[in-house]
Amino acid sequence: MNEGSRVGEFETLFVKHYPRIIGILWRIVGDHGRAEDLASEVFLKLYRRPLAQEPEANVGGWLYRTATNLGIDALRAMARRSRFEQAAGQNAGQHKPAENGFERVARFERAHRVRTVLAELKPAQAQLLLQRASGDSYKELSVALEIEPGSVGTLLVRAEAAFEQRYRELFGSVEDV
Amino acid sequence: MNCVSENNLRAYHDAELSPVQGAEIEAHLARCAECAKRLGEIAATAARVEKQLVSLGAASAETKIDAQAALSRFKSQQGAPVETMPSKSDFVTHETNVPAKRWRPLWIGAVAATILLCSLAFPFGRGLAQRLLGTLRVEKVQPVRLDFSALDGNRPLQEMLRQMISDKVVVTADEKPQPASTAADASQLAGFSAHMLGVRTDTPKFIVGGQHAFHMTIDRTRLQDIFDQAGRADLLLPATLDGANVSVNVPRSIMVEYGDCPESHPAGAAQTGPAQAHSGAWANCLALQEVPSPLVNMPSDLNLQQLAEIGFQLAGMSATQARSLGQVIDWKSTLVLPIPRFASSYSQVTVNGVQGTLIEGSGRRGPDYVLVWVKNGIIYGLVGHGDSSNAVALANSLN
Repeated sequence: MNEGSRVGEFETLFVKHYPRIIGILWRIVGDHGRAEDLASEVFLKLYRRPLAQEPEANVGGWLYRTATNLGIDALRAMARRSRFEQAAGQNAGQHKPAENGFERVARFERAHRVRTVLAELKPAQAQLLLQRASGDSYKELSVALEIEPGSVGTLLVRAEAAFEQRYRELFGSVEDV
Repeated sequence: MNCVSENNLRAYHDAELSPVQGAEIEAHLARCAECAKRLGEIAATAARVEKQLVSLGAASAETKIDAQAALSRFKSQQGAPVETMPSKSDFVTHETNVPAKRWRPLWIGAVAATILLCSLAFPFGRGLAQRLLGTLRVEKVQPVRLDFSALDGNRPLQEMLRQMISDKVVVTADEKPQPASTAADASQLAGFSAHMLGVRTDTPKFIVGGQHAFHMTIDRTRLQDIFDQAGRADLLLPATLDGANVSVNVPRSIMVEYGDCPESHPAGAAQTGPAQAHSGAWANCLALQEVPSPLVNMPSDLNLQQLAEIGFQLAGMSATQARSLGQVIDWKSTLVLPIPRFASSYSQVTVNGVQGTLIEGSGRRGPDYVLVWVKNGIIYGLVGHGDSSNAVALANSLN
């Protein structure tokens, strides 16, 4: 593949997948600026990766897998950082004008707890939950996460059980939030 | 039909089975209480977890995502067309491992950041002539992790900056450095008393850095173009910024060099090439830089915090992080010290009774460090090589 068509292919993939990648990363890290940074990293990795002879579905799957991996890594790093930085991450750009202060605080708190639990799950389970919550079908999940289509249901059940268990250990009942 | 597997129950719940499979399971569930119960449990857990995950929100619902604009930004952030995008290792090689040169951007960056932050934050009106000027004077240093790497190699951006500086900045003082033979001579030339490290008994060299002063009138449109070129068209400068006058005066400084240091270290070390960075050189080199606080004059009713937040976002922070940090800094008296990318760590330490910042790096020649603190209106920077554990003791020996 010559350089021109390679660049053209890269740009096509970028435009096609960028909104979804941002959506996934935003959901994971809760900060649009950070999500953009991570998305840039994802696409930089893509650019450096040989694309030739690769079905586009696999490229999409690779992108989503890479994005969730980076997002979860970032989430874990955020958890290790100072309280100040954590707070900055939690409160990122999510203000809904219709919310009152109490509602906003409650939403931030809930999102913070969810991210805390996700950061402590096995990465594969966190990825599965996040991408399923993004609306991926079983087929899309199996491609993106390289898992057998016939085991997606079982893996989802296990991931959800793990999420609930860790949530209870950290914060009590899931319904309490 | 045997009991339904967990996998199929979940797939049935998610309507991910074929119509035939779905019908079979539905029929089974009608007569198998155990499977029906298990399906109820799976569905309940799924609903609870989904409810939690929904709290993370959906980016698309709150943020309009323009992939084409993002692609343009991505390419400009790489500083070149994607055909020739450099690798991360290319970026690393730009950061030469000659310690003096490596630390040099710290000072440039600190001054540049000060100028940037001061010169950008003017949410005031156009009637400047009637306004009193405010004066900034550095009393302390605030280390901040800033990352301008996205702007590295952005040649159009660099050209725009160079052109704007050329057009808008009027330099009123640009003195060259000059050597001094003794501390008394250096003090007389610089206009303040040179301090030396009490624990070093060898005779140091003295270099008096020149005074630098300039003033400029802010052209908001051109600045905004620069932000656009930097891929941050989303950062909007206040319209009232246009026409603001800023003046900056950096007084003469004193550099005290001990031991075997690279030529003109660190102030003139940019000319020093990596080939000279052989192992063992400069092991006993210590350089102490002393400079009175630069003075920055600007309209007194400016909102430094607002512009600082814009500057932080330009350096890669999110809006919320920038706001949080902006709120804790006293912008009238604090020099923002950008922590270089190659710095492996930094920490707050106490030096001569005041707070200082110790930044450590690691190059091919081993570790090096810079310790920065402000006391009695003088900004001090101690640059050393090797173990930094004695840096504070060295600084405390200042006489």
